[in-house]
Amino acid sequence: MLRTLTFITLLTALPLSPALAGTLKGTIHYNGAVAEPPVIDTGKYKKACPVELKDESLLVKDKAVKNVVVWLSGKDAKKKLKGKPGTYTLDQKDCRYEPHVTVMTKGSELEILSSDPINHNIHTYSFDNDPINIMFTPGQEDVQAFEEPEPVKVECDLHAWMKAWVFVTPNPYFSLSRSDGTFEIPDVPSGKYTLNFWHEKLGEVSQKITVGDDPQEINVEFPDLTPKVTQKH
Amino acid sequence: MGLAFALGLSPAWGFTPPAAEDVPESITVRGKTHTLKDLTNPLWAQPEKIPEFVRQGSDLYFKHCVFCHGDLLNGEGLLADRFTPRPANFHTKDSIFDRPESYAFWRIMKGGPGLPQKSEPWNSVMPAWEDVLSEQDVWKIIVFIFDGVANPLTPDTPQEASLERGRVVYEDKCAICHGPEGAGDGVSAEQMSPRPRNLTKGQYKIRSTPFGKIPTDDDLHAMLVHGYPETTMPSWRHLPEVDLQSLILLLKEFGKKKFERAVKKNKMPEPVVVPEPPQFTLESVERGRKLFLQNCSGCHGVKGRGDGESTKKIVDIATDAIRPRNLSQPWTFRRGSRREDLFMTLRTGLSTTAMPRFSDRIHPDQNIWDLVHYVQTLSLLLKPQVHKNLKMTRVEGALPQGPEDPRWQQITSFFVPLGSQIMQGEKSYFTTVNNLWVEAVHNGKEIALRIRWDDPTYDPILESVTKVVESPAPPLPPHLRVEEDEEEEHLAAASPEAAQFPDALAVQLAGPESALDNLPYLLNGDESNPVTLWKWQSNPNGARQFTARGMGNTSPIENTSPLNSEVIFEYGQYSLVLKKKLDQTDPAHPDRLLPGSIIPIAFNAWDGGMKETGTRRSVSNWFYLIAD
Repeated sequence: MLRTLTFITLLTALPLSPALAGTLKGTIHYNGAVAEPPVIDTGKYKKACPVELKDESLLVKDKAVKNVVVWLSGKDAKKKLKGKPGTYTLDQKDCRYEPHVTVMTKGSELEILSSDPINHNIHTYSFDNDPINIMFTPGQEDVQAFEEPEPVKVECDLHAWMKAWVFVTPNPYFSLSRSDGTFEIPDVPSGKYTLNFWHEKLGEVSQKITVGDDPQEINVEFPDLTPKVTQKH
Repeated sequence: MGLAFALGLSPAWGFTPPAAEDVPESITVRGKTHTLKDLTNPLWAQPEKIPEFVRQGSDLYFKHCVFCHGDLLNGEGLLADRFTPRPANFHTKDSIFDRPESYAFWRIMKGGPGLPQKSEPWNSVMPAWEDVLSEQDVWKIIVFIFDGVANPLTPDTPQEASLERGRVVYEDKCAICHGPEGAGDGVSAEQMSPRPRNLTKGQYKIRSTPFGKIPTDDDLHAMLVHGYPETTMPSWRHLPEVDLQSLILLLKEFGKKKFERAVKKNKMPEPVVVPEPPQFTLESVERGRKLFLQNCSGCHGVKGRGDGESTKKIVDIATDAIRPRNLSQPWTFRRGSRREDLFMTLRTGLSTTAMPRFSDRIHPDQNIWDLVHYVQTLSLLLKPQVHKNLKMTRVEGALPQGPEDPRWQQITSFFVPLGSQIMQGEKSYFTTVNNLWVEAVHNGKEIALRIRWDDPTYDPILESVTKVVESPAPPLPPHLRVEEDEEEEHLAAASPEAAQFPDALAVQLAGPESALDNLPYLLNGDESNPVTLWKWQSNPNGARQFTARGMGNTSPIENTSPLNSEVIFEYGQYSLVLKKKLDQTDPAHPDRLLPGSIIPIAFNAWDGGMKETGTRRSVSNWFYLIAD
């Protein structure tokens, strides 16, 4: 919804720009060995939380990778990819974060909710955005703006297994891969871009692309055990 | 001897530097004899190289000496309060600065053990450096100390603060720890915990602004002036104001990315203002207790000793993510322990740590003050005084039983500081056990000691042999609570496994042959003057008796009455009772239980959870049990 609105705004704002735009889509694969995600035992919290939770840091099904952030950068991206920030929701629910990965363009706001009957503290690890660390009591809400593009790790210091990512992109042309590994960025103005793929465990890959009028299909594969770590500690 | 002990005066608790007539004529270092009267520092003969020698001496000093003698050469290092005599302050009259340099050479090479008899060589923790440092190294350290004492300030103080001046002062005073470009990677950084701050991130732990925001100039100024207690960051209040202001300019330059963004976006964070503190009332404390259990005990534990359920996640030694503060020891609070300080920490959180801030939309000021009041009840108001003489109370009949015997409440407790053993062998610079409490009783035949020390982790194997009480997860509504029996069932399959290294505590007794005026060296004695150790460890749980002739040179004592031990672990604190019926072979034999008798005693502690084993331990000075 947001994206469509953005695009209309863009068209109105740039009447000279021809209606040239293409849709980028594709599937993201990983062929490396993937162990069954570890099961988390919630121990003393088993009645306040599900007894068991699944580790969500690497979800691969039939080689297709979920939760890969896809976004565009480069000179043309700076020039052509404009749009308004939005508001997103991150809920602390059933002792996990919903969603596990949030992608938002810079300047967007994150509405943080706490649906659980117990306390959580939301602790973000970021460098360009001011990190936050707030104690949340049940039902507490807070809004936090993220102004600089970067991946931000989110953790709860009270419940070691709770982890999430807020990925702030430089523009609103992004996608988050679904459980079948597919992604789609509609209506990208024609131009030369770098198409980037980021995954919390697999690291980052990118490629140069040229967007014209026609839809493009781009399939990528993360190299086995990408050693690159994007979040410095 | 017993009589002599009984009549002996209580030993002095202080230190006078050796007088000129007590300095030996010559010393032998690695086979080379130096006549001290004629010995001079050869490095001064190369004046063009002095700046380089100062730098090299500085590196050596920060590697070996800073933990006791301190960044400012004033004897106020991290371990200053743990040992007696205190580390030397080089700025005072009678310090090495006031003496021929050969005196400093002697003191460094021969350390505490080389002191004359009347200076109690057994009690000084100053190591003899002759086997570690070369002659050149020692002369360089001396050049550095002499230069530093002579020039406590960066020369050529300007009229006005400037970035350039900030760089000069930084280079002179800060770079050794914080690194040349402020990245927290100075030559001595690796050894420190917490590590020196990386100043390029613009993140400061203590601010008046919310968590993660840039500090105000006043915050930076306060940080420089106060330093961080119980860390290697000293107070810089002696610097001229213009230098402090120049350093603030530089700090903002280092963290430019963050500071400039705030200016550019016109988003300077609003400082939190501490309101007028309300009256301290018991109602407030009770409300605070409930808030604390709900909001704080998950990390700090129910008694505030940093043993909460969630600490397993927070503590990561590899990245120097350190433990939640032990709230029972307020002298370690970085910001300070006044009510206003606690309020500010709760409202703003501690950036770069797991300590969150408490939002004012959810927690009105009253909640915060309630928490502050409760936290104050967990802690002592003042750091306890250290007494050299520990009264050993005489009781009639049976001695108190285990650690929970209510009769211990009647016995005077004594506070004993411990410091990291950084004098010999493998070292842990930041040991867990920094102090303990001891109570001592006897009935003329038997002696019993109760020793309590804080350790946020226990050896899990103890669960199967004694009472272990962990801080529970914060209270949940009744229907969400996991009851004890349900937990048992859940965990039935996993019986506790022993930690890799046991937790341990040893009581060190002099003798049996040593005289009061010639005690064994505090680090478990030596070949000629051994000690007796009563050592408890968690696995296998029990206490054994040893003779030690130096650390690592121990042999079990046979043919003596058994040493009984009983231990419990509760909310981050061990409580251990050691009991023994004395016989004639004991260092504390029955004659020494006459009224007024003196039994020298010291303590060693190991936190196995932090891989403290062998010489990696904390140690105390000699104390004196005085029998009733």
